[in-house]
Amino acid sequence: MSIPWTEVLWVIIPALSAIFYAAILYTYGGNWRNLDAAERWLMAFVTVAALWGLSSVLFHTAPEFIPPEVLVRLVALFNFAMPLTVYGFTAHFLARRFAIRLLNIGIILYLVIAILILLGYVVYDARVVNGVVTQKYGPAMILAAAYWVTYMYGAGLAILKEWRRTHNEDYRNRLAYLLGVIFFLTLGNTINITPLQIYPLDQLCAAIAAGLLALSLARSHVLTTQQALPRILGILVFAFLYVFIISITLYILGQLARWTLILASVLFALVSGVLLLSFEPLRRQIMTFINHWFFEEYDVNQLLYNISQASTYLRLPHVLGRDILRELQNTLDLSSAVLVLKHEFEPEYRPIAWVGNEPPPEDARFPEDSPLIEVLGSVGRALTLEELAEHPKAHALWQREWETLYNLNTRVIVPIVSEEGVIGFMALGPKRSGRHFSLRERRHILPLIANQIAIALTNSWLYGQVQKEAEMLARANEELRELNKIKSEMVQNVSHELRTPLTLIQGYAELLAYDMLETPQEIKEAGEIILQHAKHLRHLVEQLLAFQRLERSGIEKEPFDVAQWLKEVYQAWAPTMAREGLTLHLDVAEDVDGVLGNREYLRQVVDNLMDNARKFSKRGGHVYLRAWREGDTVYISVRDEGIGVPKEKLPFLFERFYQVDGTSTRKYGGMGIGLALCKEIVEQHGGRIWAESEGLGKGLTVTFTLPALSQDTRTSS
Amino acid sequence: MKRYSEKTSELVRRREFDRAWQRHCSYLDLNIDEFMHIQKRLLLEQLELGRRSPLWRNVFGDVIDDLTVENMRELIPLTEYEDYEPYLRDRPSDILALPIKEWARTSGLSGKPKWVPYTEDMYEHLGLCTITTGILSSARYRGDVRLRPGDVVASNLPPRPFMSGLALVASSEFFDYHYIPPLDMTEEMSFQERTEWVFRQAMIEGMQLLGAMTIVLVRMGEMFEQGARNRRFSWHMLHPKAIWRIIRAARKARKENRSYILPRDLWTLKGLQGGGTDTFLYRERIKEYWGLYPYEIYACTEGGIMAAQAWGDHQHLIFLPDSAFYEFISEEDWVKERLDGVPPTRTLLMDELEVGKRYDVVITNFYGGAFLRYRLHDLVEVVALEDKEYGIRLPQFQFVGRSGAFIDLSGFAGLIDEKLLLRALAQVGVPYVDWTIRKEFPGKQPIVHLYIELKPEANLSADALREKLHAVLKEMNSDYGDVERMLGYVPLRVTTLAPGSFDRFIQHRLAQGADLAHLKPLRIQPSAEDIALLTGKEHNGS
Repeated sequence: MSIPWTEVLWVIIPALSAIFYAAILYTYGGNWRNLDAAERWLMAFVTVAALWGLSSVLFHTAPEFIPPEVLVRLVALFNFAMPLTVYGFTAHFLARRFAIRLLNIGIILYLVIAILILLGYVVYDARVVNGVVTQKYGPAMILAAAYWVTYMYGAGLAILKEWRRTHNEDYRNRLAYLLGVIFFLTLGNTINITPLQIYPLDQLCAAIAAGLLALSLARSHVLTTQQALPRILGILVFAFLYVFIISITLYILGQLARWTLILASVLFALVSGVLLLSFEPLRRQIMTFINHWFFEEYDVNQLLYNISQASTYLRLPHVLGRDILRELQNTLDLSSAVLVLKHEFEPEYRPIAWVGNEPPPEDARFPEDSPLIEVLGSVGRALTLEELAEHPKAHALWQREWETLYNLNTRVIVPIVSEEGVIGFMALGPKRSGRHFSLRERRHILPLIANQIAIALTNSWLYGQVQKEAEMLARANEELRELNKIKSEMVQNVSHELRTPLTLIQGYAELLAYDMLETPQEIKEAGEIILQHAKHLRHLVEQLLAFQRLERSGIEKEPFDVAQWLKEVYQAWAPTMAREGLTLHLDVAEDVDGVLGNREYLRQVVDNLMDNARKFSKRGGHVYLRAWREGDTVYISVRDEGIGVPKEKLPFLFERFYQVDGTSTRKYGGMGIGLALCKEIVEQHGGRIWAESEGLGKGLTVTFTLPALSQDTRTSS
Repeated sequence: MKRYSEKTSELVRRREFDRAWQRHCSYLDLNIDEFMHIQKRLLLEQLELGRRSPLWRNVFGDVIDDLTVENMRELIPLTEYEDYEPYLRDRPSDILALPIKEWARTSGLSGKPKWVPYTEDMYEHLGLCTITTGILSSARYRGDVRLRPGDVVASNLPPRPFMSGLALVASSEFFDYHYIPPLDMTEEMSFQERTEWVFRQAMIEGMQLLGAMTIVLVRMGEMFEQGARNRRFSWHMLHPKAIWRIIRAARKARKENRSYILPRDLWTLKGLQGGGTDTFLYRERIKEYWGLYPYEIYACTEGGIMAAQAWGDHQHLIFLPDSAFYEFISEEDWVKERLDGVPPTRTLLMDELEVGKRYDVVITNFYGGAFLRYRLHDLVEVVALEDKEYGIRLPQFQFVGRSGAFIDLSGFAGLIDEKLLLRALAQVGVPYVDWTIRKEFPGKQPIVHLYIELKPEANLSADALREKLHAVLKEMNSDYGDVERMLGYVPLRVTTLAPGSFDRFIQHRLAQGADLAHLKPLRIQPSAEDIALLTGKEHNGS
């Protein structure tokens, strides 16, 4: 028995379509009172479309109790209501006042047409004979057709106009679904005026429209057409082309009758298609072609691969950032991009890498506690500036922070988050093509890239830290080596300086102990030498201990008269200098009066300087002790005409254990601690000390400063 | 600087209702710590801007260079408009740190206007807040955005340069409403013309949002209730849409067994905003007439829109965190101020308030605005610190009234204060001993009740005095005249006190041990006990 395929399809397809529409109605139309005008018109369309499908089923199953001319009028009634409902939805969806006014006219016109349909002036009879539908049209058919075309095309044109007007990709996505619905409905009804009307293609188109509508309602807030349609429309189009080619080929060969032709084509397409698409490289190529041709601007996988490659090598953050931004700029065709990261030491976020024409402004910074960082940490995905502004916590952003974002040419902000929280963000500029960042880019692709960057940056920081620590270790090692060297020299110096008097003391003590001295004079001289060197030894030890005391407990100060004090110094040293054949001069300016300091410690300083001057001057020379005042500072200097110091060694004079001639055969003894001690004492008084010399043989001047006594202290003292 | 490149109506058009809600109403998701964080951060910005403000430099001196969020309340005293008036009266364009976009005006004391500068950001914020209140006034639940582009917004509130008008103009930059009257026409119309235009156009075009003085809403409802017998015929009623509207309304009324139609039969409003401080009096009546409870907002020219209700049947006010920095003077301190004249020194912040207490509001503008620690003389009461039912974790308030020495009627009579009464009485020329005036609500109708002790030579009855005084007040304050038209009655009552009333009052006070400063009752808004003391059992009112 042959299957009446035509009648089967005429029943199955409209039934499926009606069920589809009924499901939509059930899901979305239940809460009628809460729907707005656009949604009500949409539900009206769905209702009308479902009823149209059902009445088609009734017509083709030809129940005996309903005359076919009644059924065909029902079909027409619902068919001609569809453009009105589509237009009504469009007018309210787009909120066009003029369109809403036209809608009101449309309602009146439809009522007229409905009456004409029911009276049989549009289509008054129809029969199904051998699976072929023949209809008889009335005189008002032209009016009804014009009405149908006007409102359906009107809806389509309005949506197209809106498509051209908006640049918002998500919005265009929604409009794409609506355009698809209108396209298929129009296609279906257009087919009805061609010889193809004998096939249930209008019903098939209605079913596709219903499917698109369901998809848009169910998914328009989650997926975009770029995600959904490649799987459906792309494959459908490809499959359609494939079937079409096969069908035409077989038709040309004239091997098969028409219905069997299509069935055989479909079977052949299915089998050969499955075999071909099992070949994975071919399948991948086809999908890449569909993706690229229809929707995608770039290969996302390739982009992610390139980013991960760029992130593989350990480099400093700004180098890594620049390379990643370049990759993004090239792939997404960005006009600019900036990478902003948390500063290592300062509590703020600063740009560290950028691509584009201009570098970010100098003051493009965000404090650590900026609400921007808080918002980015809480949302965890890329945000447009609009979305950022809409976040309630972003209300706390300052104008200058907004201006900074604008100055960075930001369109989208992508947070970079690690275990420590938000470590930075990318401020991406607009795409040169003018396209917006799609939902998929903002929700999936960019955050994925940001995750990779976070890992790479963390590694880079660790690498940088390791490098720094290595440098620090190297420096510390160097310092330790230096200290070791100084220690060795110090031990050498100190042991030499201590050993010399000890040797003498021991020597003369042995002479005394073993009664090797004969005369009282010799004994007395031996005792004096022992005493002298013991004192020297004690002096050396006390010098060493003085440093320790200074470091531990600081200096107690009291005001004293510098001029008077220097007179005492002069009186103490003048005879000693004279014995060495040196002349000591004192010059104290009249305006030098008091300082706040420790007389004993400062005496140590001056004594040390005087002793050095004595030690390093030749007989017949002069030593000058001066004091003067400049502003709030008292200057005291000791100048000699002795051996001097090479200029390159001047900066080191005040270092501990430093000797100008550090060799063991040096002429002048000492541990090299005296001037270091002077420096310590002067600095603890709030002053500074320095040395000047024109070089060897040209004498040395050591000057130190002390803060002059202020009026208050003078008064209280 | 505009933060949003797209209008909210674009979001709605694209069915992105969640984003529209997020943009305008997400402050309702904040907790008090987040609220205070926003407050302090924006205050910090404002203090930095203030350092560049010639106005602040003139008013406060160089102390503004040292202001921080922590020390502001110690270094800056509370301010009044008079502190700023010399610098604002001529509306100079460069008086603030940021450029001024608009000047708003409010009715000052005794008719003298107060000019308030709005920077670009303040203006934008005002527009955003206006949309916020539109969304919330029409929302039935959280996230419910019912506004649609093309919705008809009808308003007979004062146009620009008054704040209510400025708010509408600012809102047009964020939403494609259809305004009736059109914004460019409303400023040329008188109050009467505006009101007529609104309801005439609404008959044809319908309306989705209505903003009007509360008393106007009540009056319209009463007119409908009385069958509108005295309404004049208008050719606009013959418009097909108007006819259809009336037919539908008549059907609805018949279903409810009413012989008269009400406004709610003619229009199904999404939101209804009532302006005025006596809205609480008329809530049920407005619901009966218009089908909705009036949505309340707390706003002022100096601060913009500062607080609003949430959605649905939510009844309390919630402050917006980014409208102004709020400080609150406790009730004890402002009562002390009124009695002793000692200005308050201490204020509280939003996170320091207590439930059941009343506070006088002090604001500091954000976005480069003019006012620092500016007293509004408005009393609010903390009803709760959160609303668990609505899931709102911010303090809930209700507006109590003015705390200063002045009275207003339904937010419409302008400000009646001691100076105005003194001038008015002087003009009437009646010799008197003393007087006091109070706002009262006999039969739920607000009036100002003057209690006056006339001198023996006055020879004027209470009725006659009332008539003369009413006429003089109308002459001096045009808004006061409008109130009579709106209310349909004279909002003034006069009671002449028996001779010696004030003397007896003083004696009584002395016997109580009151000091000299507290011997007489307050001239404005004395307490009920004081009135009872003054009047005793003798009452000769009209």
